[in-house]
Order: sequence, then structure tokens, then C-alpha cells
Amino acid sequence: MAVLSFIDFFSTSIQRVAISTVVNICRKLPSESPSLFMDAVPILCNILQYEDRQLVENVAICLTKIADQVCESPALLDQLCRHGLIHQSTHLLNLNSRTTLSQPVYNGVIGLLRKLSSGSTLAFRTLYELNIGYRLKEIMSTYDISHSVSTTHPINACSNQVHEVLKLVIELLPASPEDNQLALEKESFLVNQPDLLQRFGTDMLPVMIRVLNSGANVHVSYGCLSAIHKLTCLSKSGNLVELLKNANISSVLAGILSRKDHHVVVVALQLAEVLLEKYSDTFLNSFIKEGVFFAIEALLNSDRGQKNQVSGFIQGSADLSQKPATKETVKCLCQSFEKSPSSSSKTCKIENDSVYRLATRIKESFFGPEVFNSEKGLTDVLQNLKDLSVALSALMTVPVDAHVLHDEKFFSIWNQIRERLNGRESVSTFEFTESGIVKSLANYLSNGLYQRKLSKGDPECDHLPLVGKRYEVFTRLLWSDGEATSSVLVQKLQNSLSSLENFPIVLSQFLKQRNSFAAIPNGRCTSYPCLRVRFLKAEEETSLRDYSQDFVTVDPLCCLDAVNQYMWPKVNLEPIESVEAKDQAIECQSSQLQSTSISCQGESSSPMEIDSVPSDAPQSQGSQVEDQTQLPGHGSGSEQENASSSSSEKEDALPRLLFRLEGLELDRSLTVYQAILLHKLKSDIETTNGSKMSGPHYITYERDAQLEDSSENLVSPRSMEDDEYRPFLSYLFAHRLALRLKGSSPPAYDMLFLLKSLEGMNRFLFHLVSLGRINAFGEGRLENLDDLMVLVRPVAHSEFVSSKLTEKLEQQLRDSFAVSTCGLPPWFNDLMDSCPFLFSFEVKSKYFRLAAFGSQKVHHHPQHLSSSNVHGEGRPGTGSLPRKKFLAYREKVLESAAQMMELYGNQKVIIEVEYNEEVGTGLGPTLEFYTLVSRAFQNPDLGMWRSDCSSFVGKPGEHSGVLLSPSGLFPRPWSGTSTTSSDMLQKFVLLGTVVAKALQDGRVLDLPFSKAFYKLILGQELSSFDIHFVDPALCKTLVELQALARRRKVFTETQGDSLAAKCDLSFHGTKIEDLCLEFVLPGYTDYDLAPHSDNDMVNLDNLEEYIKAVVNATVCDGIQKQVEAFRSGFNQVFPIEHLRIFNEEELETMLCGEHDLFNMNEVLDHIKFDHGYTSSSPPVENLLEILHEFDKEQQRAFLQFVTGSPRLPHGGLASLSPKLTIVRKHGSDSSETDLPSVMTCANYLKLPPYSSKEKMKEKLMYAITEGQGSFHLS
Amino acid sequence: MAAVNGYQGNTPADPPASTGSKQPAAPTKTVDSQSVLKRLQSELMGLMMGGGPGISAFPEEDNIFCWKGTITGSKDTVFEGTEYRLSLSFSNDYPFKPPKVKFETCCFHPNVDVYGNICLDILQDKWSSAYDVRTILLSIQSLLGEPNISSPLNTQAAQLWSNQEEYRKMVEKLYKPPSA
Repeated sequence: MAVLSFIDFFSTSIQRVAISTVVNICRKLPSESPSLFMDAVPILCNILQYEDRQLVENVAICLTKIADQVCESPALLDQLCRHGLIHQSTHLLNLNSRTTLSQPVYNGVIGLLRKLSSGSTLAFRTLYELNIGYRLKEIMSTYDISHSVSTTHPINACSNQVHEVLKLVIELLPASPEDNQLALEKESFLVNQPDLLQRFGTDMLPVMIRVLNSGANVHVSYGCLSAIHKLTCLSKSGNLVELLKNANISSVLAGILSRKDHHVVVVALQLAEVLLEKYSDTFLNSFIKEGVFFAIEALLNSDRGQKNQVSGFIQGSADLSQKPATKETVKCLCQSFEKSPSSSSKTCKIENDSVYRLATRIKESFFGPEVFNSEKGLTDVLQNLKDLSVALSALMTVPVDAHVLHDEKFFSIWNQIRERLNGRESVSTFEFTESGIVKSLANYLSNGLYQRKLSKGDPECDHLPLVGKRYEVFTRLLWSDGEATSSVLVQKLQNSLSSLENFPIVLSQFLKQRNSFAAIPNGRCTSYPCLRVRFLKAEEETSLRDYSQDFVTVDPLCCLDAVNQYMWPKVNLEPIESVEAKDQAIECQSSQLQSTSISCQGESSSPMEIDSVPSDAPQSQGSQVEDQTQLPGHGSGSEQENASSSSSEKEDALPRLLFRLEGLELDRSLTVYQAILLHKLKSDIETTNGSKMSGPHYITYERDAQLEDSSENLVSPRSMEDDEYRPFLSYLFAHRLALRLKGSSPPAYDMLFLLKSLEGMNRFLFHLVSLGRINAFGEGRLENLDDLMVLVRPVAHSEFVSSKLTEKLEQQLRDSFAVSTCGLPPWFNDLMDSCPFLFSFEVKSKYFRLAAFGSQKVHHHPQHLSSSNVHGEGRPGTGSLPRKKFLAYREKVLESAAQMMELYGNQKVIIEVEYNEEVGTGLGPTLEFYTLVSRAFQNPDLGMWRSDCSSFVGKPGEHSGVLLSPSGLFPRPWSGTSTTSSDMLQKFVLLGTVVAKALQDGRVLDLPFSKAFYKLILGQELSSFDIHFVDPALCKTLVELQALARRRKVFTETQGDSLAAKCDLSFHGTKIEDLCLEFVLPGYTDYDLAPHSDNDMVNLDNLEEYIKAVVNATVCDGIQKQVEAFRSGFNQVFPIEHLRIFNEEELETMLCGEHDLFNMNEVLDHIKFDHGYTSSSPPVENLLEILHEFDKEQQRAFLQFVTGSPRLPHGGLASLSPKLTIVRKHGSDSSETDLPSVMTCANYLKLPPYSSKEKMKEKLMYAITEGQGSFHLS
Repeated sequence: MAAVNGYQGNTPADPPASTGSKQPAAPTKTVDSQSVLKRLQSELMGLMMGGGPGISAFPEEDNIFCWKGTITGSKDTVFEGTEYRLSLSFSNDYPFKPPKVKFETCCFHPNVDVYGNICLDILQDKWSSAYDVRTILLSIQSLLGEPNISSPLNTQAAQLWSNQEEYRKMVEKLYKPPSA
């Protein structure tokens, strides 16, 4: 210990050694001699202030250990506090140390504080006086924002940061005063110092409620709720009430009450009770309004029904040798926030019917019949909305042909709804959900189509134009006063969705690396424990033979498909013919059953399944079913979900087996592990601890009756050939919301559909509004052609992102196991497929990497995905993939690219480029190569792109003109007969490959594609309105002409030809004939628009035909081949379909990096200085000023010089990895004449210390402009 | 504002004639002459039949896509008595796109820069296919008398505009009548 007193005199390294000695001593501290190490505490505390990170960390560990030792004795703890330990450690907790201290140590410090405060009143008081709440708030909110919590294993969850913080919070709020002396002291302190408590509450409450709202996991929300509960119990001041009201506690509670976990519900109920007791007048109304009461009522009802079963199951399960999973979770939840988890008490503190009792009590004491009558006690708003909803549904029965009637009625109803939404008294989420307005709106807009599958030849298809019309009208109404209303509506939908949805997250929990042997599918060793599975033949199955009576080990990571392939030859009995006969028999039978079943997802399959009602499913498999628990309520949901997910790839030659676990079919696309886990999850509560995952499973198999999957025949776009609404509707219905979502939660499905509709309307806003205008002009409601073009502000994309779902996906993706097997719960894939807009770009990027490039990359580096939120997308850590060097020639960039893609295009390798006759290699040259390729593709001589014909940049110095297309690159239309096409198509194939490869390797391209081209990449259809993104001037004229054509058509229909001639059909006062337009494509006169032999001029009669032909040539047929070529090239690398989850802007960011280059604010944050420079050295300051003065072009040049690419990756400077580093260049003594040099692969700029800023700028400019185009070592 | 942004800067080193010859239409010129040709021919007919007071235009001898136009300053403006020469070059997606119009004669005007580029909305984003050479020339003619001072290309001219007498002197000083 003596060492410590002199520690100041040693050098850092010796200090480190000394402290680690102390750490070791502390680890084995003798508990009987406390005084000795107590002496050391002051010194240790002092050291905490030091700058050396390692030192501080070790000391923190020491102190934690010491506190551990003495936590039994309040006196010693008090002594600790007096040494200033608390001051120092709170100081440590500030945000800066988050980055310097390692996570466990940091958590340890929080834990230290917790122990101190639990043991000593002094500590408790000091903490309050230090305003600990503020610090904790900071920590919690960073958690909230960055989702930095890592929950790879729930066991670790206890030790994660938020958890620690919550424990501390709870500790700081003394619980039941009857406990002991200590708690009494604490409480009296708080009573005497109400302002301290109040400040604490002010700090913590909003954060905790935000955490609750963001869909944190059960543990965290339980902690938050308990803390709030305690806080309310303690608090006497009205200020807190104000806070709670502002945070809308009622709606939070309502949301929580609908969750499944007992414990959370109980605490929520307790909280509600306390609130009502104390501030009944304030909260009663809002409780009713937000549906807290409704939720309680629902709890009562469901509990009454389930009470017997639940208690029954607890009884039953107690007999079993293994404790059921539920029970264990319960235990862990109750005790995770206890201060001393006593190992003896295994029983759950909360009795099973306590929820019921509590709910009854609240109902009786507060919601007496005089206050609330479930019939008439509805709030005015709710009543009103309900009426409107009914009116809207009634409108459905009006014959569809009565357009005017429809328009008027809908208009009036919508106006009332809008008034409600924007009105003074806000509509609560509960009212919005409960009124059914969403359902009726969705129903009306889609004319009921959203409820079912559309298939070809469906008579309903005739109504599609009508549906389009309705959407158009609705769009007009919604945006009639700017984007405000629509954004309110989106907001409401988001809130309702997050309160309603309860999609499960599947976390893998038990897996530890362990080598074991898996017999199935192909007998090899795995690094994970195998599952023991016994495959049983289904009872009614006669065409198959038994597999084996023994348990076999199965690789948990293999797909059920693989198992299928393995099993089939072993169990197949019959020759093929008879199997087929059998097939047909089953098919007949099941299709009969299917037609009678109301279920709309009857695609699944066999008679047996329909026989077995969910609740008695276990009996049908009777003897074999293992001891899993299954609550009937959830059973039915999961049955449908599982059933409908029968795999869609019917083209497999191999016959299929249907696997069932407990009578429920398993999704074949999942891995065995995932399927089982998912299944368990459905039947259990929100979390499982997966303790018996490896235990024996019984999977039955049978032949899969192969039914025609009707969902394949979607509405073919061609079936609505001449419809203006086509692109919109096919967007809306093509990726239909997976109907299986509907089975699990109909209200959520309604929400999703309406959200999707809104998103579609938002996306096609320009399209729909223009169309509305054209129609208005056609019908004479608009007079001036100049009014056709309108500016409408769409709602920002970010408003469609559901933070809760995004967070859920984040959590799921952090699960390294799910990631490594690519197995995500099916609802994720469904939502991604149909409503990708719900997720944020960051999480979509992760999902995309996973889906497109498979698990290989992340498998070896699971920490990569979880640790790097920021760096993940830009230049992913690609250490695991093999690298290939490629020799490129500067003179023949495109040829080199072609050769490169031919060699490596379809392989998963990282390509590194080196140039002929240059020594440099690595990241820099590679990036530069991509840049060069991008440039080469833009050479106008290739004839690939449209260009603004009249505006060529012909700078004298440049030998090859660069294409100028202000709206971005878009394929130039070529008619089918053109001769130059084959060579050009080859270029498109190559382009596709390069783009895909760049995406795969995380490279940035310098290709300014137009928005419309991105749409094409995403597989969307284009319409005349998309020409706007290609050629705005052309689009404007076309729209005006379209309006004219429409007007003429309307007049001809209503008044006959003779009168039609009289109306005003002039084009800005000019006759159409006078425009002297010919049937040729504007600007591309070699394109043959029409098979007319003679040179017809465009007149009123053929105007419509002309417009169609122009549109067709510009965005459809004329570029069809090019786009196909691009896609085929792209698909050589990975399937282009994976891109579909992005929208145009996001895709652009993925491909081309950020739009604006660095701004000065972030420069300082993201540039490192090293080797002789700090951020304050004069040359660096000069450099920053110079950078500041650069214009865009110069910034690009600078970036190109330093990083090799003129653009930054997605995320800007921040995601440049390695970070941009400025180092001092030690050259010869004449540093003034030296030039700056770079190492592009490390993003290193070596900057000589020039004496003046002018000198530096001169040299830098010289370097970035002249140094381009070669790599030499420096 | 929009008009200023739309200003397409041609460098002085770039002789106006070359814009026409650099057009990518070159390889397919024979075909596309047919399309825009008719429109241009009919416009030419219209102008010859009776264009309007103080304006005229005619294609250059070998290229129907390049026209020379003249306008005279209107009465009662500071430009009275002057005659200006302009070049018009049509792209092959005319009339969906406006032609490029430049002053050949030096013109001291707030919305015309020293290279003869004109800042006029109908030649940029307000273009409509219904406009033709006649309307363009008439618009430019009226622009002479009613400049848009708020977004000038030539700030000196814009400042001087308030003083009409001085302005007239400047116009006369800088005016060089077209040679032909």
C-alpha cells in the first residue's frame, strides 16, 4: 500500500504496473482487515482524476472490489463516501468517460454507486445533492438514441448499462418504509428536501417514458415502470403530475397494459392505481380518453376466461421435471431489480391472479358506474369518429357508378374527420384506433380489395380504375391545405401501429461455441450444439416409411429445406406414379375443404390440419407431444401464421415433406433452430430463456400436398393496359401486404394498409395530383393550362419510419445467431417486402447486406454488425473475404472493367486494383478505378444516355466531352431496329455488374443517375409523369397536351363531335396543327414512333396517340432493352430484387455516397491529427481555414487527392474509415518546397509545416490538381 | 430569380457558331432535318408573310437550325433607333425545348451580359411549345424597353437604368450597328 502514496512520482508506465498490482490485491481482499485498504481509498480516489485511461480503469475496478467487500457494513460505506468517492465517480460518469472507459468498468462504476447508496444514507444524500439525475438522464438518452445496448445474450442484459442505471434509480427511490431503519432515514431526507426529489423526477421521468415508448425489451420497461411507480408514490408535489401529464402517461399505460408479460402489467396497474388515488381529478378523464380503462376492462375479460387454464397449467407444469420456461423468466424478471438476489427464493413474487385482482380493484374504486358506463361513457370525440366511420362504411353500399354522389359524400365525411384531427381537442391514439375509422377508410379507398388476394381474371379487377379514382380524390382532399393534414394522419397511424403491433423478436440465447457432430443434413461437425430431434411419421401418413426411432442430431443452422432433401430419399416408399395419384387425391380433398373454410389464406394444405383445431392440436399428436406449454389464445394466431407460410417455391423437382412441431407446420425457409424457437415464442410469453433448446424435439413429417399457389397470379400489370393509375396501383398491390399478417392482428393490418396507401400516395403525389388536374381541365373545371403544374409538398420520408419497428429490427439484427443463419422471423421479411418504408435507412442497409450477401461476411465477425452502427455501411470491414488483385490499364478503363467483372464478377471476393506500371495498390487505386469507370460510362460517344442535346460542355482542355444531363443520367431511347444497339447493350450489362460489385464491396460510384433510372433499377414502372425527372420541359408540354386531349375526349363523349369542335381546345392560343409536330420522338428523330407510313402531322384527333407513343418511347419500350441488360448484368453479382427495400433517394445514397461534402462543423470532429500535429498547431489551423475556403469543386478534388474518391461514403466524413488523418511531414530541411502527400488507403495526409497559410494553399492546390491520376509511393 | 439561375454561361472562347456544330445530331442530321424542319419552315413562312413591326429572322444559308434575327428598338424607349442582331439555334427536340438565343451585337441592357446571353424566363423554365421565333423576338424586343431590374446580368446597366438620359448616352456610346 505504501506504493500508492508515492505513486505521483513515478512515470506513467510504472504507475500502471503499480495499479494493476493493487487490482490483484483487491481481487483477493481479506474481508477481515478492512482498515488496511480503507486507507488506500483516498489515494485511489485521487487517481481517478488522472488522465491515463488504463490507470483510471484499473482504479475503478479496485474501488468496485472494495465496495463489494464492505457493502455489508453501513459504517464503512459511510467512510468510503467521506473520502470523496462519490464525487469522483460521478465525475467519471460524465459523457466523455463513456468513450474512454470500457463498458464493463463503466457499468461497474454505476453498480458501485448503487451499492453505496443502498448501504449508506450519506451516499444517498450526496448523490441527490450532486444532481445525479441529470447524469443518468444523459446516459439514458444516449441509450435511447444510439441503441448502444448490446443484447447478444440476455444474461448479459443484466449487466448492461441501462440496466445498471435503472437499478441505481430504483435504489435511489426508497421502497417500502416498513423495511428497515435505513429506508426510513432516506425517506425522511427526501421529505425534507422535496426540491431535490423534484429535480430528480424532472430529469428522469421524460427519459424513462421515452424509453418505454421506444419499445424497449421487457427488462428495461419493467425497470422504468417500477421507477416511475416509486417516484409517484414518493412525490408530493404537483409538479410531477404536470410532468406525467405532459408525457402522456395515460397512453403509455394503455399501451403497456396490452402487453403480455404479467409483471409489466402488474406494475403498470399499480402505477395507475397510485395515480388515480392521488390525483384522481387530473387523470380520470385522460385515462378514459386514452383507453386505459378500456385496456383494464379487456384484461378483466381475458383473465376471467383464462384464469382457470393459467393456474391449471402452472399446476400441471410443476409436475414436470424441468421447470417450464415461463416460470424461469418470471423469476428472473422479478429479481433482476432486487438488490441482493437471494438464491433461495425461487418462487415468483407475483401471484397469478394478482393482475385480475388489481384490475378489479381499480375498476371498482375508480371507474364506478356513475363515472363510466361502457355504453355511453365514450368520449365525444370517440363517438363522433365512430359515427363517421359508420357513415363511411355505409358509403360502400352506394352503387359504385354514382360518381358524383360518392365524391360529395366522401368529401363531407372526410372534412369532418379532418376537423377532428386538426381540432382543438386532440384525438388520442386510443380513440383513433377504437373508432374503426382506419378500417373503414382503408375499405372505402380500396373498395374492399385490400382484404383479399387479387388474382388474374378476378372480376374485381374491373373496379381498379374506380379505386384509382378514389385515391386520386383522397389525395386531392388530403393535400388541399399543404402537407400538414397528411402528416398528422401519418403520425396518428404510426402511434396506433406501435401501440397495436406485437411482432415477436426471436433472440437466440443459449448458444455457446461448442463443437459437436450433426448427422443431419450431411454429417459434419458444427461449432454450435446440435439439436436432438426425433422425426416421427404423421399418423395418417401412409405413403412414407418411418425414419428412425432414435433421436438424431441436427445441425441447428441448416434449413428445413435441406432436411427435406436429406429425408426424402430415406422415407419415400412408393414409385413416383402412385405418389402422384395420391397427390391428386389429397389435392382434391383439401381444395374442397379449402373452399368451405372462410380463412383467406387457405393455401395450406392437408386435410389433417384443418381437422385439428388449434386448441386440441396437441391431442392429435397426443402421445408424442412434449411438455411444451401452449396458451390457446396465441395458438390460433400462430397456427394461421405458420400455415400460410408454406413455402412458395413450388418449382422444386423434389417432393416435399411437411414438418410439424406439435401439429403446427414449420416454415421451411427457416433453419431448424429458428423454426423451433419461433414456435416456442409464439406459445410463450414475450421472452423465453431457451433453456431447453437443445433438448429433444419431436418433429413429425408427412407428404406435402402440393397445391397451386394462387398468390403467384397477381394482377398482371398488362391487364389494366390503358389505365393512368397503373403505376400507382401496381405499386400498391404488387407487393401486397402479406396477408398472413392479417391473420395475426387484423387492426394492425388495417393500419399497415392505410399507411402503405398514404406512403404510396405520397410517393406518387406528383402523379396523382397532376392526373387530378388533367381530369379537372378535361371536365372544364380548370381553364388555364398554366394551372396544370402544381407544387405539392410531400410528407418527409422520415415520418413514415416507425421507430418501434426499427428498434425491433435493430435488436433482431444484433442477435448474432439470427444474423449468421439469415433466419429472421417471417414477419420481418413480410414487412420488409411490403412496407419497407417503416424502417430507417440504417437498419435497412444492414438488412440488405444480410439478405443480399448472405451470412458469410458477418458470420466470422459478428461483432462487426453489432458494434459499428456508423461504420457499417460505408466501407464495411471486409477482412474475412478473400482479396484479389487486378491489374488495370489507365488507357482502357472500360475494357479493364469488363475483364475484371468477367473474372470476379460473380465471386464473393474483394477486388483490389493496381495500375499498370505504377507501384501503388490498395484502397486508393481501387476507389480511383471505380471513379474512372464511372467517368468512362458517361462518355457521350457511347450513346448510352439521354443528353440535353443543345448543351454540351466543350471545355477546350478536355479531349472527350463529358455528358451534361441536368436531371441525371437516363438511358437514351433506341428503337428496336437500331443497329448500334448490341454494343451499347453490352455496356449496360457491364454497368449493371459494376454497380452491383460496387454495392457489394461498399465502393462509391460517381454516376449521377436520374431519379427515374433508380426507379427502373428498383423495378418500378414509369409513367408519363416520371419524364419529369428525365426532362422537365418535355414533361410539362406532354402534361398540357394530355389535358387537351382529355378535354376533347370529354366533350366528344358528352356533346358529340359537332359541338366538340366549338369548345376551346387551343394550346396557349395556338392550334395543335400549328405546332407542326410530327410523329417522331422529340430529340431522337431516328426513333420511329408509329408505324405510319406517311408523315402524319399531329392534330387533335391523333394527339392522344402521339402522347402515348412519346411516353412509351421515352420511359417504356425505348429503354426496355437497356434496362433489361443492366439488370442481367447486375444479377450476375447478386439478385437485384434485394434492392427493392430502398427508395430512390436511399439507393442513390448507397451508390454515390452523400450529396454534400463535408461541412466545417464536422470536420474538426472527424479528422484526427497525429505525429506532431494537434488540432491547435498552426499548420493545422491553416489547413482548416483553407478547406473552409474551398468551393465544391476544390473540395471534391481535395477528397479525391486524399481518399482516392471524389465523394464521401454514406454518412459523410464520420464514416470515413480509417479516419482522415493529418500528420506532419518530416522532409528535408527545406520543408517550404515539399509538397503534401497522401496515403489513400489509410486516408493519411502528410502535410509539411509550411510557414504561412498562403504557401500552404498554393502547395495544396498544386498537389490536388496536378497530382491526380497517378499513384506513387512517398 | 429563376431566370438568373437558368443563365447558361458560355465562355467567350466558345464562338457561338460552334454550339451548332457540336450538336450530337450530326450523325443523324439527314433524318432529323425532316422533323423539326417542317415546324421551322412553317414558322419561316409565317414570318415572311408578316412577322411584326421591327423584327425579322432568316435561316443561315446552309443550316436551317441556325437563324439570324434582327430587332429594332421600340419607339419611346432608350433603344429607339437601334437595331440588334441575334442568333437563334434550334435543337432537334424543338419545340419541346427553347432555342438558344444570343445577341450578336453588343447590347447594353440589364438582362444581357457582355457575351450576349439573355436572361428571359420564356427562354428558360417558362418555355412552352406554343412559342415560336416570332413570339421570342417580340418578347426580346419588349424586354429592351422593360428590363427586369431585380435580377440583372449586367449590374452596371441595372444601376444606370433609373437615369434614362445617361442610359441613352451609354447605349449610343456602345452601340455598333450590325455590319451587314
